[in-house]
Amino acid sequence: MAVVVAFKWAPDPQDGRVADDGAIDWSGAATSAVGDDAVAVEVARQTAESLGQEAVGITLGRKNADWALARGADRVIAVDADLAGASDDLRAAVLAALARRVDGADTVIIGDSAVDSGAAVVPSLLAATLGRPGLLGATGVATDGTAITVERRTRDAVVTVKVDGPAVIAVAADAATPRVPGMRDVLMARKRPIETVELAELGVDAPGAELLTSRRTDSGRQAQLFDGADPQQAARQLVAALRSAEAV
Amino acid sequence: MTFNTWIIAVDNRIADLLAAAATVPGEVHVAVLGDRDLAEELARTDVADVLWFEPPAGSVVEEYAGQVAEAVAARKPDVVLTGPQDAARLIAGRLAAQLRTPLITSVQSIEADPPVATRLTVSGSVEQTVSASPLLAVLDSPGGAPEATDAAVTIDQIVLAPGTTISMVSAVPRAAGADLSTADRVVAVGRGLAAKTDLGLVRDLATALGAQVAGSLPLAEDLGWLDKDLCVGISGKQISPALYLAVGISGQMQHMAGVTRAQKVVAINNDPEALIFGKCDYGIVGDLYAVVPALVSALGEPRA
Ligand SMILES: Cc1cc2nc3c(=O)[nH]c(=O)nc-3n(C[C@H](O)[C@H](O)[C@H](O)COP(=O)(O)OP(=O)(O)OC[C@H]3O[C@@H](n4cnc5c(N)ncnc54)[C@H](O)[C@@H]3O)c2cc1C
Ligand SMILES: Nc1ncnc2c1ncn2[C@@H]1O[C@H](COP(=O)(O)O)[C@@H](O)[C@H]1O
Repeated sequence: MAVVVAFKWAPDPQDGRVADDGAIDWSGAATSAVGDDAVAVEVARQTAESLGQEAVGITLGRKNADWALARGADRVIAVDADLAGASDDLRAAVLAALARRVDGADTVIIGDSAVDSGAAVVPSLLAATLGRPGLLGATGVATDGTAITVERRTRDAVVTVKVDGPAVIAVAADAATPRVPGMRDVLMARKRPIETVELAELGVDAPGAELLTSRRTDSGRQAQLFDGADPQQAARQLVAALRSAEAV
Repeated sequence: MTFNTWIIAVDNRIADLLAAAATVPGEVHVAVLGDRDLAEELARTDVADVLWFEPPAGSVVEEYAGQVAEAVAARKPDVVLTGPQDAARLIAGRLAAQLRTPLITSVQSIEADPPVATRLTVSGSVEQTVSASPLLAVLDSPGGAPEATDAAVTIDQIVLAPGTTISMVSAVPRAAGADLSTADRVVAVGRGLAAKTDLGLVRDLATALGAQVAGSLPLAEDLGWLDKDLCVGISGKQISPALYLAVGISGQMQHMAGVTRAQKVVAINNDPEALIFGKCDYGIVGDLYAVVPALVSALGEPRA
């Protein structure tokens, strides 16, 4: 039996230079594990430990395998392909195919949303492709040694549910505190196996939307600044500007 | 040409989904996952009919995403619209798999004939228009409760087979937070605030503006000075107020992605180099502890 955790290695969105036509230049961008993924790996490690199961990381591209191994994954399965520009649908299909390669992987943990896309779409597609229920936005995951309970915050309640069987659980930023690996973890990680799989072996395909137009959005705002050295005057200037723009 | 349009509803917030659906020629149907009251409320809206999926009492709706998607897919939709609620996104994911069509999220608007969606990506910094058939769109803002019509349309009830994987343990009610998604004005505060006790300053400004208070992730989550529901940004809410005033917020992309649809963005920050001054319409470079009280009194002064 195993707990599977999906994680992603992506460029820091802050480092991408967006051209007027919406094309992004990622050269020079630092890459790292994104979004809630450090939390996902920590939750998977704790869950696997408590259930006496293996924690298996799955990821696209193999550069990041060590990162997860040092944080508690027992082994990693990576697809050796650059899927940077691939659609979310294809990525989810590939992750689902990887999860299926792990025997007895009832529990699949994933970050709720990634910063680079901000789409929060892969978890629901992954649950759909695997044909199992999903729980999104989990703020807490616990086990009593056999069963898993998941806490979520809905609009008007904090809901705790019990999961008996295969499910995909997407964890939010506050579900656990990721631990910082020590030297020992990093060294141990080197001994742990990384299995790479060719994309063609998985035989997946997925539809993508047809892109019609694309443009940069943040070019619109041109700040009019007031000097707050004289707070009263700056405040009056701002209020006057907002009034004439009919914003207040 | 006419289209077979479906709205997936997991609560009553569908006003904007209805408005978007109304731009598509053809009949609009609603698939509702929830209790009878919800189905009846949505039957009194401007739609052709309601397909009501009734979950067994006390069960967890997420468990039924597959059954709902299967029934909707069997009705061969051309356009499906839903909101960003967790259960709605799960149903949308299942529909994508069933219909073999891409799932398009962060959608701001749609156009019909042929169906096209306008969406934001890369944390709000790129706007794209995309097409797909069928078009399966998750809108960022589904809108509030719909306006009721005089007559109710027919409700077709589907009894769901009880799920076996997820069971309810407990549901502890909590005070429903202010709904930032529909707020007209928002004052947000960040790490520039030195102490929790200084929040009063920000609340005074919000009151003077008739605005709701929100915050950056560090305030709402790490420090816990505000309720978590009040976090604005990629991990929190994506909002579209007429006025967004950021106090002591640096303007990191993960935060600003939450306000790309605000009409006017105002920043107060004592660092002239703060990122936010490149992403706002008006700014005051100064100490919030001096500027905020001055702003409250300036707002109280009569128009010149
Ligand atoms: C995966 C991920 C998701 C994230 N999601 C979100 C999100 O949803 N929302 C979010 O907000 N953040 C998010 N973040 C965090 C984000 O990157 C920033 O760290 C955060 O927005 C910074 O908050 P801040 O502006 O309040 O604090 P800081 O960046 O510390 O900025 C404080 C600002 O206050 C100014 N200041 C200090 N003193 C004063 C004074 N006396 N008067 C006036 N100005 C003053 C400073 O000049 C500074 O610009 C996320 C990060 C990651 C990695
Ligand atoms: N290419 C990928 N490889 C592994 N995990 C991914 C990939 N894309 C997305 N994910 C996971 O899905 C979550 C949500 O991503 P997104 O849907 O892009 O917001 C992230 O936290 C990741 O854990």
